[in-house]
Amino acid sequence: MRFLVCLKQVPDSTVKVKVGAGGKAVATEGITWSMSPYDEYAVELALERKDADPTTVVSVVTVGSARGRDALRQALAMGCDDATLVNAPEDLPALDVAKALAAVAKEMKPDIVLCGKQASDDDQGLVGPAVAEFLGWPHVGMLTKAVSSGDAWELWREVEGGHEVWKAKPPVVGLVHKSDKEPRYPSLPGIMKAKKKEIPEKDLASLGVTASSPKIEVAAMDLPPQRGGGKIFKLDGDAKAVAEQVANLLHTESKVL
Amino acid sequence: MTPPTQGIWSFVLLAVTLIAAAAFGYRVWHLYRLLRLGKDESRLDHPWRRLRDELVVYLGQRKLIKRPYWIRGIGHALIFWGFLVITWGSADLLLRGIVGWQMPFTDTVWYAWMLDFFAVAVLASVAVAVLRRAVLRPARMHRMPEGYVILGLIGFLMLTLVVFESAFVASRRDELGGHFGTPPPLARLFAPLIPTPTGGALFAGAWWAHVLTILAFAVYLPRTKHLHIVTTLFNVGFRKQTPRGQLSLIKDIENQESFGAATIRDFSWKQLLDGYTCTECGRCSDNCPALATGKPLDPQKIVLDIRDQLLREGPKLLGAKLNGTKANGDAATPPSHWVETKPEELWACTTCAACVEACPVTIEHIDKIVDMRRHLTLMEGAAPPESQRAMTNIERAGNPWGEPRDARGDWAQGLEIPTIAEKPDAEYLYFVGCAASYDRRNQRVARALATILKSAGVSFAILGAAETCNGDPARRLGNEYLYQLQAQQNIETMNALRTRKVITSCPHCFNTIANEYPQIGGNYEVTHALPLVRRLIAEKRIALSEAGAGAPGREATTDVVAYHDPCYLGRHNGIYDEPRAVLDAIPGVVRKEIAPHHRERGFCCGAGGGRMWMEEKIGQRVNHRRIEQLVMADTKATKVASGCPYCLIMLEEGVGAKGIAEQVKPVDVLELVAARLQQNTTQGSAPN
Repeated sequence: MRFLVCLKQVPDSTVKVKVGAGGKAVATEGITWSMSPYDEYAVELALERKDADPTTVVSVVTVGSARGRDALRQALAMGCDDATLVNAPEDLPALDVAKALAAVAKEMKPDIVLCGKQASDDDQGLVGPAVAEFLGWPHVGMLTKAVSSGDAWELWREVEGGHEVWKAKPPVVGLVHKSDKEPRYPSLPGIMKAKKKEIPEKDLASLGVTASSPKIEVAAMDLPPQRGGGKIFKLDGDAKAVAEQVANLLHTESKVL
Repeated sequence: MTPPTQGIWSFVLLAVTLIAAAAFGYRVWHLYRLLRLGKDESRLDHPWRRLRDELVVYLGQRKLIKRPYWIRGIGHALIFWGFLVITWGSADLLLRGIVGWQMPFTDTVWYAWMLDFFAVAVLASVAVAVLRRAVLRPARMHRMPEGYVILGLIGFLMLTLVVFESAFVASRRDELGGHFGTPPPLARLFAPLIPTPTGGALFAGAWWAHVLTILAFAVYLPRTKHLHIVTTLFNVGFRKQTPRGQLSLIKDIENQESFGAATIRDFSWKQLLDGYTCTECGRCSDNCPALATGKPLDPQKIVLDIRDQLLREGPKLLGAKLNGTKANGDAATPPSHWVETKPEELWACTTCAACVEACPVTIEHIDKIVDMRRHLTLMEGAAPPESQRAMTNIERAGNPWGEPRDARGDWAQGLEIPTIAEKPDAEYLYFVGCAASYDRRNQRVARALATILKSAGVSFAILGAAETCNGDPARRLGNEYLYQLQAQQNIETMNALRTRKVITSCPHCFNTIANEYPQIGGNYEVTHALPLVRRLIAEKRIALSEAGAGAPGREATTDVVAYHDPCYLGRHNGIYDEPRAVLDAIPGVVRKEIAPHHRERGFCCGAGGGRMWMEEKIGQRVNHRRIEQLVMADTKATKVASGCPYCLIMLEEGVGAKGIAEQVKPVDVLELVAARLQQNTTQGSAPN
């Protein structure tokens, strides 16, 4: 059984986001980058299968700048078997990214391609379904678990109030929402091995991808307005009296009534 | 005294003695070989301190005679000192019996008196010890039968000693002309009860019984926990002389292949010796906050698990070592199994050092626990999931909360606190730490300290966003790698500064920077804020007045303040007096103790050792127990003061959960000081 997990390196969730000079993108100077959280879940979900069946091979791939190597190393440290970096400009349109990923999948012939359901930076949620489309494979979204059953896979999807279990025959593309366990913390030997592992590079041309898809242009980017400080009122009296005063304040102060 | 070993009997005694010596020696040799299965570790630094420890801790029994074990401790010391005095006499008996030589001083009057004094003292102590085990049945003691055998042997030795001494004097009544002359005093007392004719036989019988019991004791001893009589000598001599709060460094970590301890071969010989030395007294367990609140951790079991596995599997490992050829090397070594200690026991530890403090024979519990945690975290990636989140946060954001790295200095906004980049010639660097940087409650403590330092005219600056977590939580969670990365980053930053003087308001930052950074090239003059403030008060650089005094319309108030000892100030670094001195120097503050759980018996808040970053699902929460102790101590305190951000967070949660948040307010001592500064220029904090 072979998994191919598609990763994206994004600004870490602990970074205090600032808008860059042009007012159209996040300032990225000196910030910490990490693997997008849904992609971490995807890696964990695949590795849980590898835990159950050690013959499983888990490959990871990312499309973008050299910085993406760190995300690949993180995945290797967690226990993935091999990693591929597809060199591409940072602003490659999402559909071209999907084409590149589909081309890699065609070469590797995995049984399942996993993507995080969306990247935590731009939250487009576009690449995963597009990869399925370019490959002509079925795709299943909101995955939380994948269990092999005979020649098919039981794919668990989180839905309102519970789970749906779909069955799919490989090859299939899955978009991961969460994993059973939290993504694993890499062991130190894992980190050291990952540091030494070679990460082959590919470029778009060798995959037969030309950047031709329409590009999204961000018109403007702003931080949400700062919230004003609240006011604290000291109210006396029994519940009824306090409730009256609150109602009064909602009318006179905040003018919501 | 002529021994009853004329003729052939001296050869019999010689033979029996040799057999006993061989049985003793064989066992000791075996134990020594097992010990050598452990890793090498040098314990020869600070020879004078080691000598001092032998005198004070081994001979002086210093760690036995302490609160709350005064009586039992004195009882043990009497038996031990008696053992030393009487062993001298026993050697004398054997020498005289076999070759007719004698030990020095054994004929002196003062030795006879000493011998008899200890015979009585030991008998009395043995009686008390038996009664205590039989009647009081302390829960912390496990192997009762073995204890009874030993106590019985000791008691029998004393009785036979008194009997043969008395019988000897009685048998020579005629020779001595009716008066028994000079001591032994006990003999003088009891000899009149023994008729002269039976004296000779009784003497021979009791003498042989005494001598054979000594030899039996020598054979039995190294096969029981009473081996500690011997091993304590070495365990004390080889105890850790580095600071208690310093964990061992994994050198060249990036090029090692295995980390921490999972089997007995991963521990050092000294850690294995700890197992031989454990007397199973249970004082460690008695004082453990995790055990007290129903966690699966029992520090005594940690030590005994390792010892038991060594005794059980060590011989097989030794055999394999002998049979293994050089060609296949370690392949012949059978797999050594996990010690029986379970991960949930290890994760329950707060590294508060109550066990280490309580142990009379200087066993090092925390180091073993952290070594086993290192295996779990570094080799298996198996730290509890919540703590993994904290570690990822430290890795990516430089703080376990996962707050933005950039925002580290935000607490100081508007307070005119310079960064060290802005004020490179500052006398002190204030290393703020993650809690005071990001936790809203503890930001008030940082502001309080800044106010005090400004008021005293102390020149200081902070690192701001250039500071990163000191690494303590990572290190104590077993993640030595992450610790070293954080520490190296800070050391690189701090070594580039002009000042070497560092202030911390967090005992964990203090302990790590003062005691652990020197291991990897960070040597600074570190002080926790409370000793510094103590000095500022003594030097009259800050003046304090009663809260509210002078303010129009307000009367001076009195605060009754209970002091809670943070483990990493107190037990780990011996800072007990300075925080109390600061409290005592504050006008209008009446200091109270949370007795008996104060000073070196202070009870942990539950957050140390990385516990801050784990859920506490088993048993009672440690901080809730702490609040119960505060209530029980009946101090009438309106505030409970500490000197640690973790303690503050835990105490805040505790008073809330226990529903006494209105009666007792947790504060940091620094906040109390800041609130009473004269001409308080503070924009900073006043304790609520």
